[in-house]
Amino acid sequence: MLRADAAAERRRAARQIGFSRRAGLLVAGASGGSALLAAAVVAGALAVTFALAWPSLRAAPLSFLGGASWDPSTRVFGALPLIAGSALTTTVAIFLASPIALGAAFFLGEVAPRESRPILDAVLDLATAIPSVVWGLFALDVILPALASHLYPVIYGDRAAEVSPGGFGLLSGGIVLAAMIVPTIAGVAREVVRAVPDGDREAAIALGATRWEVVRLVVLPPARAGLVGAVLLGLGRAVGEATVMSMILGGRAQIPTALASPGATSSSLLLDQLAEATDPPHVAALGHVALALLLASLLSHAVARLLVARSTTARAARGLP
Amino acid sequence: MVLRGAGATLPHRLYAHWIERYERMVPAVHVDYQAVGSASGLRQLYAKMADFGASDAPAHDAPFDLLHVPTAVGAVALAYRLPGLDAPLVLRPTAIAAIFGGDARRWTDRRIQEDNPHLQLPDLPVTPIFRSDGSGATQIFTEWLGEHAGSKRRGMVAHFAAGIGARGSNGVTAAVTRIPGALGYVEVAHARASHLVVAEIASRAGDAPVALDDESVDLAARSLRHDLPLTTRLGTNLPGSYPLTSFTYLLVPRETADDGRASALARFLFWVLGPGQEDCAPLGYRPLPVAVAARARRDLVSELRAGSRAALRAD
Repeated sequence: MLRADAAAERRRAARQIGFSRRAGLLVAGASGGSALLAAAVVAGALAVTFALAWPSLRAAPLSFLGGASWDPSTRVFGALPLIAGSALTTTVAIFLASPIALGAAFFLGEVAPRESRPILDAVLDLATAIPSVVWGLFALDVILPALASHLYPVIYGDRAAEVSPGGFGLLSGGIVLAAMIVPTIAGVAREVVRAVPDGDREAAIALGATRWEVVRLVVLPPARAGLVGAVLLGLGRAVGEATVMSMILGGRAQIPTALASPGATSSSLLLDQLAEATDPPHVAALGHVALALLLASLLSHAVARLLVARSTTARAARGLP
Repeated sequence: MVLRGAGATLPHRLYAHWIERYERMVPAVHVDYQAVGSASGLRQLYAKMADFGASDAPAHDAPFDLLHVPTAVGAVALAYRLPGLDAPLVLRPTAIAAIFGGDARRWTDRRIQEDNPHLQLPDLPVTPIFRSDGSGATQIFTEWLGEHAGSKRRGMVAHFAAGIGARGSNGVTAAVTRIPGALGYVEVAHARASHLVVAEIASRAGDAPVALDDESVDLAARSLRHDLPLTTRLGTNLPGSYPLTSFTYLLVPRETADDGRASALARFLFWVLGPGQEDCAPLGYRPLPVAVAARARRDLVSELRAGSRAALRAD
């Protein structure tokens, strides 16, 4: 009697183990498959872009990037105006956004009272979720007119309306981009700052460090790499932003003469022209731009994730509390 | 049965209206039109992923024979923002080419003033507004400028040396309304809907300037040239006709397989060229001249073949 029970018990136990082993395999398979799928999508995007760009790559892989003129009607394609546009807008954006975002991140990670953190965190996360088109409309209706009437006359005097008619142009693009990426950078930077263990802070305070010394000696060093990573993520978003740029840059694929001149970025040009281009050299040139953009984005994103990972997991990996 | 079409964004409202009416009449047929832009639509048509395309300008580089079916008459307006003028602005190709080429930078420029002796033009900078995305309006505008002012830049995507490129007709409208001294080209349906002030145009030195209204557009539409290759614009030589007028086309392959779709499409187009025309005016287009619609219907019968037979048969 007891033996039968025991046998039944063992069978039941064996079935349970079998079930959990199967479940384990299923989960492993599904998640592994998803990871493979994600990698396949990236590889697919690279392959398609490469194929699109092939005629242009075959002809002039690198000199294309230095070509100063982009004119579909005469079939002259050079990517320099777009590279200049992307570089200008993202530089302005990073320059303006980083101090604000990092400051906000420090406030949220270090200074803000604990009770307020959930609400403030939620507000920041909401800001990240504002759709690009909404930013574009806000920029057109509020930001550009404000820049055109108050900032550009100060910089350019009487020539303001000629340099940047209505406020359309690359400097405006950079300023709007800065506003858009502050939440992105601040969100990641906040987590990086918070990842520094409280134990380290407490140890420093116990040794007599002031608030500022704690930040300088205990929080910043391990967080530094991650903060750079956060900024790089913001840069990635800035480079990829197409909708808003298309609406406010003034759509001119030429090398800008002034900071506030109309121009175009790689992303905004692709958005404008790819759907309507039929001429094969035009399509190939657009593919070439897309490939350069894709590779640059992948690279900066990869570096960013690496740096952030170093900051947030390094101390945990060292086994410190 | 599903008929797939893809192409120009501007006639989208008109086509959506026609499709809705026709599907109510003929429930067995469903027409799916995607307004993805003239060029994308043509690409899909050439790849045989769409049964018909739609474009404001004729397609010259198709891999197979296409029948261009005019469906409505549209026009391109030159909208401007110059507060304080008490009469409409007059523009001729030379002045417009100078503006869009970056040579004429202020409204007081001699070339613009010459065309407007009756106006006191303000000393504002001129900001030309063009389409940064490809469009039939750009094609019509640049072909007209090319013919009358010798500019080399033609096509759906034009690189202008001055001004602002705006995204879509809505973008042009937004830019023109926001920038004092702006001058942009935009389809008349948009200009009317946004109450933009538009210029009077004359093509040649001796022509009287023509205002953009139903009569001038209809007059231009009636002077269709029946020869091939099709031109984008219609005859501009009749006094009182608006120069920047053109048809908008649906493009259909001349030869298709005999599977019923060609006939269904031909019947839909036959209806568009008849009862459908009354929908044009309320949506910002002008109906086709009667002779043009009749000829287009005859072409549907004689030119479209499904397999070895005519696509449109009396039944």
